[in-house]
Amino acid sequence: MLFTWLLLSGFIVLLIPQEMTGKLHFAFARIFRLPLSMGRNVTLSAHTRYNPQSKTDRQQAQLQNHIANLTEQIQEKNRQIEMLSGLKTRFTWEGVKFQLADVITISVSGMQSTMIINRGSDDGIRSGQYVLGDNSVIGVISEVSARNSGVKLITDPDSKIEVNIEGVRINRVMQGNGNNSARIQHITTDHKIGIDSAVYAKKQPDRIDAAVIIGTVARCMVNKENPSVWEINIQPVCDMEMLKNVAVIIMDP
Amino acid sequence: MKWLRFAAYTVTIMLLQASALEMISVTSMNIKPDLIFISVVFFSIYCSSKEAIVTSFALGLAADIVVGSTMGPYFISFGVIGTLLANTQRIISLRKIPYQAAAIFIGLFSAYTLAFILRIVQASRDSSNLLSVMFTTALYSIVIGPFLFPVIAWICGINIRRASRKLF
Repeated sequence: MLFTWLLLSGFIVLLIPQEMTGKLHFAFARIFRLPLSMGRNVTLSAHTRYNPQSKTDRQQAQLQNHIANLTEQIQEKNRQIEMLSGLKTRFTWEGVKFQLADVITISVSGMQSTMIINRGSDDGIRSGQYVLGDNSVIGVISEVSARNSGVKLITDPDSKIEVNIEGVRINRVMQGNGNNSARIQHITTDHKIGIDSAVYAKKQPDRIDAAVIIGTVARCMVNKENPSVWEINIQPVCDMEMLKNVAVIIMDP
Repeated sequence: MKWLRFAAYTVTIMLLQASALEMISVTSMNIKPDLIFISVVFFSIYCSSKEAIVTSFALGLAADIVVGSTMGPYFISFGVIGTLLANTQRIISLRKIPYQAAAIFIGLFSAYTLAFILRIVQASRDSSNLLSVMFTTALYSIVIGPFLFPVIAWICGINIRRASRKLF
């Protein structure tokens, strides 16, 4: 009898909309923020001890991401100048607010890759906004409460972000693999894709003001099922597990 | 069962599972042992049937809160598998380490599969990594699971040297 009642309540909980039940998850993160942060710091320090990547290397990676973003912005501006010669346009990121947030927890596994940050709707965060880490796009806001938000990382199997590859002027959807990587499909083999080519999150008027680096091409193979298209594996340019804070892009605050 | 100790223990393993356990994660998929499910198996083996049902569902709810994407799948799957394990005790005694390891492996595999099916009810998900994640997590959990049982028994004040088979 007890089992039946609990099972029934389980199905009721399952059918309650995610927006309501998600508050429980945020409440847990908020109440136990201190021990969770301590646990994360222990993990970070342990990873740093065994990880040969030093602080200097990380700063170098940040600068490389910044250079890649600026290069893409210059190219975009050049294209605009060619097309709209004489017409005024505003500077990139002008009027855009970057909301800095601390990472409370990060869960990166094969089945899901998510992050909880300590900023929510009270700070102007909305679902669908892009999140930056180390000058690169790392995910999209998926759940929002008053003071916390959930970020679906680019490597999450449910994550789908419109991107373009350096040198290939076509937009495609990048989907997370779960395996700390992502993939792009449906690019025909007549396009030349170079290994280590930069992959940019596509500029979108309501979400992101300029193309921002998201990853690099780690592997490019012909699709086994459809030999006319590439199977492209993308490696994020940011070590998301090492992030302590991120920036959320708020367009037209 | 000392319920206050159980509550404190549940919160502790939730915090460990959500943060510090990343330290011992392996492979690029960040596989780590599932402490919450190991606890489900422990309470199903060493507690009465009624206690096993309550603890299994409670730990399932804890897993849902830690994972955070959808509430309900682990609540149901851990509850069902924990209850099944408790009832299995009427037929087979799971007091030896190989049996406990097998219970963790098979139970975790079944619980994750059931949770995944239930998650599809709410949203479609990509299942490309599911099998490898389940297999590696189950394997990692059985390596440490049976050795954690005496620790859990000590924390929750449970005597693990009692009768070896549940009759009621």
